[in-house]
Amino acid sequence: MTAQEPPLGDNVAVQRETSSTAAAQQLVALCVVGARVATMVQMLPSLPTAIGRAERPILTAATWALAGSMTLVVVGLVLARRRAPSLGLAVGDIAVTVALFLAGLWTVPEEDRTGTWVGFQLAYSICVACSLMGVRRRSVALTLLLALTAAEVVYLAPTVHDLSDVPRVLGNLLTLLALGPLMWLAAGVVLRIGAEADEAKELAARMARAEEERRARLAIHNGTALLRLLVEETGGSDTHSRIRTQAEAELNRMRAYLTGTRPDTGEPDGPVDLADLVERVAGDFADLPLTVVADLARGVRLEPGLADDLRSALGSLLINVRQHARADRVVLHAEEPADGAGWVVTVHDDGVGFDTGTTAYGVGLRDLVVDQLAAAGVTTRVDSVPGVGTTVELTCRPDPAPTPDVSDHTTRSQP
Amino acid sequence: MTARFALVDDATALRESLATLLPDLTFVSTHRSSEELLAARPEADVVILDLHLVNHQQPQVTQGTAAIRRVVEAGYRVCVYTQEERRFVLAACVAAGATGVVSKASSLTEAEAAFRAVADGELAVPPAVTGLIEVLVRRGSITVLSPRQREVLAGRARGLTYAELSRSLYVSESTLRGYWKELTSTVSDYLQETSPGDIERALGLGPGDLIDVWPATR
Repeated sequence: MTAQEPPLGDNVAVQRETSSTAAAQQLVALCVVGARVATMVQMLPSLPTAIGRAERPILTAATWALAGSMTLVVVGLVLARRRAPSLGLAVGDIAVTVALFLAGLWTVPEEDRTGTWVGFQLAYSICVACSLMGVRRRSVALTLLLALTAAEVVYLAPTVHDLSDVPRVLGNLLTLLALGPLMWLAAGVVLRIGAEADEAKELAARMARAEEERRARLAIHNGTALLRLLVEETGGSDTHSRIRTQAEAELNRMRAYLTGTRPDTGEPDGPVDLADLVERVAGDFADLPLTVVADLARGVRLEPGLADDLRSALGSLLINVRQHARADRVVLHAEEPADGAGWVVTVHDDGVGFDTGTTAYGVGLRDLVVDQLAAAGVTTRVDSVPGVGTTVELTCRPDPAPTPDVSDHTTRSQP
Repeated sequence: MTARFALVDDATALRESLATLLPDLTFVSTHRSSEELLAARPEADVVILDLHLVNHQQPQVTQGTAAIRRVVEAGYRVCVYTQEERRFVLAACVAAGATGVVSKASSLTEAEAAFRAVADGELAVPPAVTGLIEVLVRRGSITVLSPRQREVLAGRARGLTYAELSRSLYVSESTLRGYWKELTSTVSDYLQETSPGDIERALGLGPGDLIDVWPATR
């Protein structure tokens, strides 16, 4: 780790604070605080009038004080916890508001109960209803809202003297019954978006980890096989020096992985001729009874990235042959098909073979060959019969069909 | 009828041992040179012929494609048995009339199978040479092949055995051998009758690339 990089612990802390769920909860909390403070700011100018016109000024002052204190408590707790009021606080909040409605029967003159800030209870109850956003159980939130509505009905009932008063009362009730649930639903959407964003981030992180592990396997697989050959190798000095040369190339690949750069393959940067590529790979395996048939691949150009992948894949296949096949003859054939579309590379050996139905592919065949090439649009077909030999066919078509999973494109031919 | 084999090789050890190593084959005679063989005229169907026969004991003997041609003209089928690996040299052996080309590096099983195939009139060549034939077919120099023959050719050029091919083509091994036999007589005729210059062009080689290895056109 270099000095510029922050320690890992800081990264984790930053990640936690910036989780989308937390951000969504903060947004909801901010809405609650905003509604409560705005309501209180609108109420305060009417306080002197309310006290002045009250028949019971002390009781009236007490209701205002209670509303103000409750606002301070709720705003304080919400700001401290950075989330909307939890169930306990919400229940207390509703209880206080119900009490304020009931007290209003004595402290607010009937004519001031709607359309004025002297009768602050109606507006205050709306911001309390909005504060229910933190109670995410629908039945509980609804019960609390209905309790509030019932208290409002009691508070407003004495102001209904004839039918013409009904619309005004109903309008106030509906404001409460509409705004409360609307805010509750909106908060639900925001919180769900936050949670889904976190899940998506988690999925992306998991996929990145899986990709990292795959890259690590790619980087070290061939190297591991070569190290084993170097350790166990009993052949002549010729074989030894060939394996050493390959080991050097694999060492470059591993170092490139560690430094996060593209491996230095010693190849030119431009497009690579398929026949040249196949012949160069075969040159590293001169200890195998290997015949290269690549005339029909002359002139097929591969982009450097695909060329790297194909080089690794062929290297891995031939290391497999060297380690396991005990073959008398290996043929590496490459061609541009007669229709001129894409290319096909075939590796055949007449060695011991294996049962593709029961033998799981090793890291080399699965990751270095099948998966890596599938990502580049190359399909892999493995055909092997114990005692007869193995054929691996790598096919690149210009417009590849959607790549199915391994079991689909590594089928055995029917006997 | 059991095929009879004669061996021409300048290596004494090989002359003395091959019959022992391949006890299922009937060897009627062994010779140090093609001249010795042609003088003796053994009653053999196939002559297994080494490509390089000149050594300090017999500096003047005929070897290479010239020897192949002489032995073929004497009425024998020839299977070249050699350490030579260069594919154009091996293809030149077929152009000179050889029915088979087998590497001395091959396993005994493989060599025996190739000798028997030659006795049966079947072209037996390594994948490197089959690959050249595939190029000649693909470039239109050799034209008569049926789709089945092309499939067998493609499989053989990839090193597949008849057993493996029969699994993927759903055809019996003997049928596949039939396709191969039809195909190889066309190929042999083409190689024997076409000038080195034409073959160079067909294979995309430079002018004169084959001149040192190829036999003169009949």
